[in-house]
Amino acid sequence: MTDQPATDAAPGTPGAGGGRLGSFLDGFLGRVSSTLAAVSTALLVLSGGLVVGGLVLPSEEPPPPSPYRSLDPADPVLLLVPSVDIEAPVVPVALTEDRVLDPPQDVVDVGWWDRSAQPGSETGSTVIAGHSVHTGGGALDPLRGVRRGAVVDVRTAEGTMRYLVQRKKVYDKDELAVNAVSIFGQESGRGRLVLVSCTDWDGTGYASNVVVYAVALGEPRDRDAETDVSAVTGGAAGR
Amino acid sequence: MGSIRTHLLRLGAMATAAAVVTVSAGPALAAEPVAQASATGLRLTIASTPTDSGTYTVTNDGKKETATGSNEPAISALGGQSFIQAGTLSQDAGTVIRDEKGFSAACAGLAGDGATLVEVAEGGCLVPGQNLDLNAGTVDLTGIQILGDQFPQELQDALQPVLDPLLAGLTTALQTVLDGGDIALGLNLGAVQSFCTAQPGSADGDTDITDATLDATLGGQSFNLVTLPTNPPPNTRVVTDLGVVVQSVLDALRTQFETAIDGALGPLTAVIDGAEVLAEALEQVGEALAPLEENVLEITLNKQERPSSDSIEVTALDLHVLPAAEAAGVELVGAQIGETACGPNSRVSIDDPDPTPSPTPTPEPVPTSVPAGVESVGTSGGLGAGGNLALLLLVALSAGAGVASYRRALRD
Repeated sequence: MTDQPATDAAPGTPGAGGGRLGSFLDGFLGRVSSTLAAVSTALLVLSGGLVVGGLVLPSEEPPPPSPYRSLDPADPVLLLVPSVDIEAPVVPVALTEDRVLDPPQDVVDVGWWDRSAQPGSETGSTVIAGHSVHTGGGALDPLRGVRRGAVVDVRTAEGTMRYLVQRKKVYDKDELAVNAVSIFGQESGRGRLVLVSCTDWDGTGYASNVVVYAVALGEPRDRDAETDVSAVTGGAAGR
Repeated sequence: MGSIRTHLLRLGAMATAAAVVTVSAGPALAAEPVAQASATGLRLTIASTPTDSGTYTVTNDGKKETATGSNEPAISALGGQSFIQAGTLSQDAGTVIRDEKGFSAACAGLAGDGATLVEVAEGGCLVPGQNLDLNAGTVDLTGIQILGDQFPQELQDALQPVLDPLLAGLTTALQTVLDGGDIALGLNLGAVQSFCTAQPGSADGDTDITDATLDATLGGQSFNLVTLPTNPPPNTRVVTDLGVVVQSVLDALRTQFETAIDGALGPLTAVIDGAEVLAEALEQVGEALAPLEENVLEITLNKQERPSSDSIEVTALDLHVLPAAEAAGVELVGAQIGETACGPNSRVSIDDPDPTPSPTPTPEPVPTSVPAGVESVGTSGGLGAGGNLALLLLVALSAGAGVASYRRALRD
């Protein structure tokens, strides 16, 4: 075996003397260096392969995005309840000093309580009241027929806020007053929608209020979904 | 690919709907209150006859708090008992819904006159005033007698000439010792109160005792039986006897006997061992009082029971005069001071379709009436905002057309 490092060493260096220990060390270090270089190269190739594979090979399909997105709060302008053919313009209404919420005088309109949450708000309740007319023609005549799972859309200047009906409840006048804070209070609600009208015609007037509670879903991402009720409710929408 | 996407969308929608339905069904299924607590200031059982200050109970169903009973208990309402005649009784409880979780707290206790009642949420409901004396029981000593025929026969024979006068003297001595009346067991306290809190998943409680001692009184002399700890660990048992009182009775009798025997025996002291007579007499009295040297009172401080992991019942002081004392004529008393119970509490359903009440009054006025019904359109009808706008436009167009026609006519 030729002691190559000793041959290549410059005069005066440790290896120049051609000692056996120096030759051994030079040979050993040379082999280690070669091995490290080979390992580094292999790792580099492997890393590159993984990177390329990660980019090229198909990965697990990500979960589908939520069909809804948030909507900036804005005043409501139109109320739609497709399942019972409600479509009514929304105008703001104020509370009277004696805490009466009068819907708009025009019975085809509905009133948004101007101190309640705007559609798109994450807190409070959006309160919309509208007339029921015994002989027909009221904007919320069909409200009593709304069923759980029905979709409600409220349009604003920012877009359309979609809600899902969760519960419908009938309160007589005293019950409504007793539960006023819990029905209309803005301390809770998580942006839900509260629709109010009258019911229980007794021959001379309406004896009760019907209140529909709906949770906020958000603004539909897919415009098609705005007309495809079953895609939202899984077929649970009431008709 | 489009088909897969549609399926995923439908699955997501179905899951959403299912979740919504499940959440909405939760409140209907949950009949238990969201928060609950109760408090009873004092409960007594005397001669098997119970009486108490009533229980103040509050529950919160997530919508409103409901209270039953009184949180202003009156000691005067506790009739037919001699345990307590004065003092300040307290029992209060409350609930609150915060961050959709039910919290409850209760406090109950007893203190002397001048105690101050504070809000239950502050961790207690009584700030002690004067100390209060409670009569926990009375030991009837009238049945204790010294009988001549209990003496040894040889002693009786020796004493025969003077037995009657001697027994009369001994009985007089005994009556002198017991002249102060029966042994009264008393509880002297500044304040004894328990306190508990609960929230979903957990409950806790504690007892606070201020300056409380258990005493026995005989003939105007008071014997301290035990001083109760201020902050006893849960379920601290204190068992006590009246040994110190019995010893005191015997010591007093010994003194009286020695005097009586000396006077009664007189010339017979040469033939009668006075010490033997004394020992025999003391033995008789000692046997009569023996039950009092057994455990007669059992007190549990800060008694805690957990019906479930998230509820607790705390009794600040639970006192029982044990049946062993019945033989000694102790009037049986059971007393529980400061009983509180909290939980189990739960969370308000997140998407409770029924409105969730605010624990504090909402500052903004809310509608209390929505007159949203009319008989016919004629009484309150219209064209609506859109209709009115259209009508306005028509009027404007008509006016414009009219003006145009008029100007055209002028030009012609």
